[in-house]
Amino acid sequence: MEQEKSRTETEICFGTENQRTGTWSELLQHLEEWLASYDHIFLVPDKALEEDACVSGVLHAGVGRTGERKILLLSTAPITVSDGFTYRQITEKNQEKLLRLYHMYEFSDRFSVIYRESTYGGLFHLVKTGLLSIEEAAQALFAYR
Amino acid sequence: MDALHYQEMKENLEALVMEGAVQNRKIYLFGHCNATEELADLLLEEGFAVTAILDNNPNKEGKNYRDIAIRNPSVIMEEKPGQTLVCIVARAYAAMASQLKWMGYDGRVVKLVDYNTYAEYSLAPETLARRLQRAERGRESLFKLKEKYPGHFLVLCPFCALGDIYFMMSYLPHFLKKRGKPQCVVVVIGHACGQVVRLFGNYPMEALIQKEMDETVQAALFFGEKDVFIPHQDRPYVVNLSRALYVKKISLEKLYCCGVFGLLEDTMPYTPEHEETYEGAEEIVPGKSVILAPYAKSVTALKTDVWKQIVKEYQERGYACYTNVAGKEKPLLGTRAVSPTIAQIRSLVERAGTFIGIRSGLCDVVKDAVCKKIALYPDYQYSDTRWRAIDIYRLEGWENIVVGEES
Repeated sequence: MEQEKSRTETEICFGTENQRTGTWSELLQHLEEWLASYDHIFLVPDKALEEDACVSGVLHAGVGRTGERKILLLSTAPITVSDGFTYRQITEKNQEKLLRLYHMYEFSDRFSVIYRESTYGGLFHLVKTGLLSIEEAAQALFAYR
Repeated sequence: MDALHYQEMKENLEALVMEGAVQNRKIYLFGHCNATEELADLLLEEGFAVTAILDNNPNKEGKNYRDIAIRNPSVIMEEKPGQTLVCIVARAYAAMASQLKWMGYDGRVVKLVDYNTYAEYSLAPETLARRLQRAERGRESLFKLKEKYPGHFLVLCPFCALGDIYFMMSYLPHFLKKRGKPQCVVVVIGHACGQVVRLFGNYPMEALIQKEMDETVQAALFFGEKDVFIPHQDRPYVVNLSRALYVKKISLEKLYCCGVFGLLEDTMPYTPEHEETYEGAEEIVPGKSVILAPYAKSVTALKTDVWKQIVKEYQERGYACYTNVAGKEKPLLGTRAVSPTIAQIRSLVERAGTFIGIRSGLCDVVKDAVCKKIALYPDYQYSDTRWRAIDIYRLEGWENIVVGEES
């Protein structure tokens, strides 16, 4: 019974056996390659960009800068970037999988999600409450000088 | 470092020694912090030499602890392969191990204390399976809490630190009002944090152990629980608030008020309402006593000589000196031990007239006491920022003093 429950849970989280050996493992492989090639990876959920002017403001203030670090932005939405940033459009399914993975454990300190969560605090609260400007939040997030 | 973590560190070191992995190797420690200093002490006690403490913060480079130099991690690449051992007791173990690997270091790296059960820098299938099981265990714990407190909003405090809990509780009522959540249960780690919660009212409360809390928090994230809030300024790993300190100096209190809870800067904090009178108050000479608080589990200790000097000066001025102790802690030489509860400590220091403490969460608990208050700050950098500890932890209405290594 326990095994049955566990199997169902795994399928809910990561897809069926076929998907795990197909799309899911491909995504993990990509993720490993990206982690090896970039200083930091940011996932920008499309919902965050659509619904939160603060998130999109900080993002655009940041990606308009020439950074010292190699940064990869992943999103389902198109994002215009400058030098130092690379953008890759991903599918909604992969966005969902990356979010699940990110919330399951800390698999790297070089992967973050740009999103204002309701379950915990964060940089965007500091912008909303006036402690940080959008420019300062972008600088904090992307750590450019 | 608390007693449980110290025991874990000691046992892991003993196992390494038994294995022969420590002998005849150059030992490096990574990450200069209070826990690393305790590991250095332990190694020196056991007769091992420590070659250097590695640290990424350039402001720490060139300094030393007990004649052990603090150096940039790149120095390890100058060593011959296979002749070194890197020991880590810092929360950022996974990131540090990954950095060493990234640099090309292929020697042994060991974690002697598991301070961060959230992290495992691997995407291997077995890691994913293990992590999923962990999240499921956490969900069981969430279910139990929800079953015991139906309809309550869960406030999961992920770390055992008095100061964090104090600031969290100071602003929690505003946050609950904003969210429209009149009923909440506060979940903490350990008895002392529970006492801080109690200062602020009769909140339903549960105490978990660290591992259980980590799993519960992880499950709340993974399963997207709605009626949960995790009020901390830098835990778990998804919280990015501390990055703000790379660009601006923000006090710990404001990080909680604005960054954690999203409240406006001028929000007035709630103050404790359930304080008690210290039971042995009649033995304390009013206004002519000093309460000394030299112990803190997460702050680098000050040299014994600093405290000796303070005791001497106050005794010469006719003060009775007391040391606040808990568990196995010993009173400073020439002082008497006092062990008030968290609820009693304010009344104790107000009767004494003077409080002098290393800057720890206990100072937050007595921050509004009406008496002379002095906070002593070891001269250290706050995390990997350019700020000193005093910049972030400074207390209004207190004498705030940095104690340098030469003091």
